[in-house]
Amino acid sequence: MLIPIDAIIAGVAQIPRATWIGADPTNPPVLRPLLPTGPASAGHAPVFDDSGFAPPSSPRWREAVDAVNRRFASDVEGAAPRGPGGADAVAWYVSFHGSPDQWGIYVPLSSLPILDELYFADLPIPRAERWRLVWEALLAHEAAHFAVDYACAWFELLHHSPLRRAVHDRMQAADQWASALLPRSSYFEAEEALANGHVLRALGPRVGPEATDALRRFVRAQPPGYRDGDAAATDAGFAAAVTEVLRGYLAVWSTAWNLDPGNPALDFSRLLPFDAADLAQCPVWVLDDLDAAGLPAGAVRLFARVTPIEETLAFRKKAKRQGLGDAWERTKARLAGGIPNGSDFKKWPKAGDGMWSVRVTEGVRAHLRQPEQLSFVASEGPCPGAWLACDIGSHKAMGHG
Amino acid sequence: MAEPPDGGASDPSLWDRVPDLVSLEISTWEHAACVPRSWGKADRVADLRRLLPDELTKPIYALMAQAEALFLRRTEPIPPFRERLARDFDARSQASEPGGATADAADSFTLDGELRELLRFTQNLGDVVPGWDAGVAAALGADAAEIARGIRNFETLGLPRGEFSVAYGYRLSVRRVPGDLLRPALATHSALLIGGASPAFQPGPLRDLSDLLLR
Repeated sequence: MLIPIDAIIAGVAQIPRATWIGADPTNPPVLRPLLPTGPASAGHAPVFDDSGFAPPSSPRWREAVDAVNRRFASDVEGAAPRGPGGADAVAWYVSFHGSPDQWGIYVPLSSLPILDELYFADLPIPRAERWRLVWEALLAHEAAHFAVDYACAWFELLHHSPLRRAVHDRMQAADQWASALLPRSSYFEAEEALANGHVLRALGPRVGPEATDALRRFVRAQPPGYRDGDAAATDAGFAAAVTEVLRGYLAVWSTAWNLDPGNPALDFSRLLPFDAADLAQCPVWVLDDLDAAGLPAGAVRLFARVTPIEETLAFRKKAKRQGLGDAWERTKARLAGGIPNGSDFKKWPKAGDGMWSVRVTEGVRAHLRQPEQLSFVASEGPCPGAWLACDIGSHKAMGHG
Repeated sequence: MAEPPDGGASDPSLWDRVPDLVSLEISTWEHAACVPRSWGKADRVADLRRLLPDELTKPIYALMAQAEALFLRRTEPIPPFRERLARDFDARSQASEPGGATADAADSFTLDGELRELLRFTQNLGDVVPGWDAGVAAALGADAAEIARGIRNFETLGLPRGEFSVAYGYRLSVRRVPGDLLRPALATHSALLIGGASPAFQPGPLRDLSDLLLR
């Protein structure tokens, strides 16, 4: 488990010139929302609901898909050579070095259906599952940037020097000093390869072969550096990529002080925090930009938490009768904090419109009705209604086979 | 924390010298033939396109890969430059530095020298690869003349022959941009490294102002 991130941020703030004043992190690089709503906290493992989504045919949707593809992919006609590209055009990590109050991973909602249409639509799984795959791919890419940011902060605390800021400033100055003598990229290509390598490593073993192939196509379509994720997907390749990236941040210090971070006996990948508990320290924000993509409000919804939950009288009686009262209270408390991976929280149309199912204990399910109105990230801010627990019982009795 | 320079009394070179930026230039006649207008150049040995069978050119490409690995080991990436930062200090590029490292014969051990020692590309192709001429003729067949014309922008003498040096057809060299020429581009970094202890860089209104000005 990591040292609490707040301690790291406070430590970095004490290093001369280690921080900077970052740009507005809620400003998407491609699609700009017509009515900005501000970011909403989403957690790392939300559940997606596509019941309000209909395949759009409006010109604005087409334009949005094309605009995103020009930034995301490198071999599209008219591809934009400048500004964030690849996965960072459709989600982005904001460093705590530049925005100590608003740092974290930002994902515009429109990125999910747009990337689904471009790269994952052929997968034989429900749309909401494909959105989840896109979400996890984007989160894995940006989480790698967080992990590098964190490892850099460690080195900064060790050296009491602004390593990250130095690279950031050189990146900012790149356009100013661009010349044929010193060709350069507008981003750190090795870090993008590492991030996409992490996408393949994190998701590959969990999804089927077809989804893995789709993820590889998703990686290979991206600009130079990003598309080298394949090479960073193996253990050796990933370790080499991490070393190359951290050497990039340490370069001037290494040469000045004769440090040797390139020593092949060192494995820097151990310094990157990739455990779920570690990554959970990185905030995830969602931006509602559906209108900018020509999609109606509510076309893409995600549930980060399920709260508040009220119970029908019948539910309470049944839970008490079956001795499930305590188990239900524990489930309810967990759902209020986030949706646990093992809860199997999913839509359950067999029980009626707007019905969802959740695992309470082994072999026991509960059914809940969603609130009448949901904001784009359910349970963010004041909730206009409560979830209603309607039924509870054994797996079989609840119609789950 | 790193202490600022003390006026040059102890080791002024640490603060004053700027390491060179170096890049590896890789080119082959095979790549020139396969990729028109590439001048035979590729970014990485792995990206080089080949005409001849691997069993024929294996020793040459193995040496090139070894040299590339040595280059990557002996240099540090410095994003966003495509070049890398040299860990050695070429006396020629540092001699003009005020207070810089003094040129010393014992210090002239450089990456270029190491690569020269490793590559031995002055040897004849026929010595490195026995049966070179026959192997090339067999591999290219009737296309040999056409290919020879196609690589004239790489080498004017046509296809490499056994009595030619390896470097005629296969080149790998370090391009070095002296650090002192790069002062403007690296100024930010030097200032960060050296100026860390200055009061202007401590948290406070002055630093906030400089942050705003430097955005």
